[in-house]
Formats: sequence, structure tokens, C-alpha cells
Amino acid sequence: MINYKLLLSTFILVFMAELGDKTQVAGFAMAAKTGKMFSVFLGASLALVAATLIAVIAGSKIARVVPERAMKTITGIIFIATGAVMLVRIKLFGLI
Amino acid sequence: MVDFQIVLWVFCIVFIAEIGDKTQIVAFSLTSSTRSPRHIFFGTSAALAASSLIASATGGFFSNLIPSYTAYISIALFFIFGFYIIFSKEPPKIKQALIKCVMLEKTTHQMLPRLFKKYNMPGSRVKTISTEDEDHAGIIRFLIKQKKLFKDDINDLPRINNLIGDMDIDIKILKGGFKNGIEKLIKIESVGIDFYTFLHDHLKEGHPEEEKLRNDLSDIIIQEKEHLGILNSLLEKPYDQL
Repeated sequence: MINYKLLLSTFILVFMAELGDKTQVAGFAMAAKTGKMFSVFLGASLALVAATLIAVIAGSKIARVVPERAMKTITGIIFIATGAVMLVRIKLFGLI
Repeated sequence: MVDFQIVLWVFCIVFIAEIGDKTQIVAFSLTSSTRSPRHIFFGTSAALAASSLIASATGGFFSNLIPSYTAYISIALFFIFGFYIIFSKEPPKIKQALIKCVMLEKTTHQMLPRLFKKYNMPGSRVKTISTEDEDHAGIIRFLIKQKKLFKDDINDLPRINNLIGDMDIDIKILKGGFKNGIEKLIKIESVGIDFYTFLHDHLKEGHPEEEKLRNDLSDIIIQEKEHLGILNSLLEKPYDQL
């Protein structure tokens, strides 16, 4: 059963988080100078998929050990902390 | 067309940059709290592909325009999702039970033929069990979407907690040999019979679908008992073509 709500929520959260991430854009600008845009895009995409795969597998392993309710609370706290850290970095160091 | 040196170089750079990045943390924690790895994997990968497509297409042009308020939207989303996850309530017990039941029926439907194939066992009745369990899964999936099918106090009965617990069965059917696999499937069918009987006894009176549901559930229970009989006889003489 495909849970479209979850799929979309994940997409939006990650997409928005990545869009404003200057490290990504800086990397691309640098690689853009080589002129081989498709190769750059390919390398980056493979790396991102690989990193995501590792994260998801690790998440599944942890899920076997930690009960769901506890993990939900922890995830919520992590999300709020991430938002807070982003906010602090903007206020203290300018847009990052 | 493709410069593999560049592909490799960019791969290494981006990979090292991504490990431990907030996206990874999001993917990791969402997977462990929603227990749906595929959804998280595809959602995250698609989002990353989309954002890197935009970044590479604009070549960093819009990097000065974009961040101003997208970062704030992103922060807001993290807060909203964070609070939502912490305070979201579990679905009602009956829904949890029905979902587990669908999973078990699907397990039998998929694993029984594979078990027979793995150990080269002949078995013509296998297909019947597999098909019928697929039908059961469909019926239960339909039930999940309906409201007020069952008596109002069904979520408060201790029995439903027991049933949910009983449905946490080892579903690694293919491990441990043929007999072991059949025994696990027997456990699944037994739990199914208990659960369907429970549902049958707790239908809400006066519901327009009550009659039909009562009949459907009775039929399912009869079929499951037949399945149980077949599987039990397999334990005694596995090499007979049934």
C-alpha cells in the first residue's frame, strides 16, 4: 500500500532543506566550470542515492531495537533541533 | 558524452559532504519512526535529485536569490513536522489490527508458493490457498477504509491487544527449512482464524453492510480452516501430491 501522504511530506521536507543549502550550490558552481554538466549531475545523483540508502538501512536497523513510540518522539526532537540550529546559524553567521 | 573521471570525482565530493548532513539525519530518523523504508528512500532520493537538477541547471545563478526565504520555510517545516510527529496519536487499535492482518495474508499469498518452489515440493492445492489469501487481503483492505463497522467499544477490549500481540509473528517463511516454513504459516492461519472470529462477533448491529460482512467473514473463516487442515497434513506427509 503506497502512502502518498508520507511520500509527499518526505519529498517536501528534504527538497526545501536542500534547496537553500549553499554547500550544494557551491559544489555545483565549482563543477560547472568543467563544462561537463551531465557527468556532474550523474556523479552527484549517485552519491546522494548512495548516502540516502545508507541512512535508510541504518534507520531500519535501529527500528528493530528501539520501540516505535520512543523513536517518534526522538525524531520530533531531532527535527525541532535541526530547525533551531538552522535558525541560530542564520542569525549568528548570516545565511548558510 | 560522459566523463567518468568527473563522475567519480563529483561522487566522492558529494558523498563525503552528504554523510552526516541534515538530509541524512532526516532520512535516518524518519525511516526508524515510520517503519516504511521504501517511502522514505524514494521521497528523499526524488527530492535530492530535483534540488540538484535545479542547482546544476541554474549553475549557481539563483543561489543568491533562492536562500532568502526558502531557508525560513525549511525551518518552519522542521518545526511543524517535529511537533506533529511528537504529538500525533496512534491509529485506533482496530485499524492497527486490520493492517497487521492484511500483512499476514499477503505474506502467506506470496511466501507459500515460494516455499514450495524453493524445496521443489509438488503441490497443486498451494495455488488455492495463495489465491484465497490474496482475496482475504483485499477484503480486509476494504474494511480498513470503512468507519463504524464494529461495536464502539472494540478498541477498549483487552482481547484486541492480545490479538495484535499474537499477530507479531516471525514472517521469515523461507528460512529454516520446509517444515519450519509450514509451521510458521500454520501459526499465521491460526491467528487469522482467531482474529476473523473476533471480528465476526463484534460487528456493529444495524450497519447497512452488516449482513454482507457477516457472510464474508464466515466464508473467510471456513476457508482459513481448510487452509489450516491442508497445511497440517503437509507436516505429516510432505511428499504427497495433495
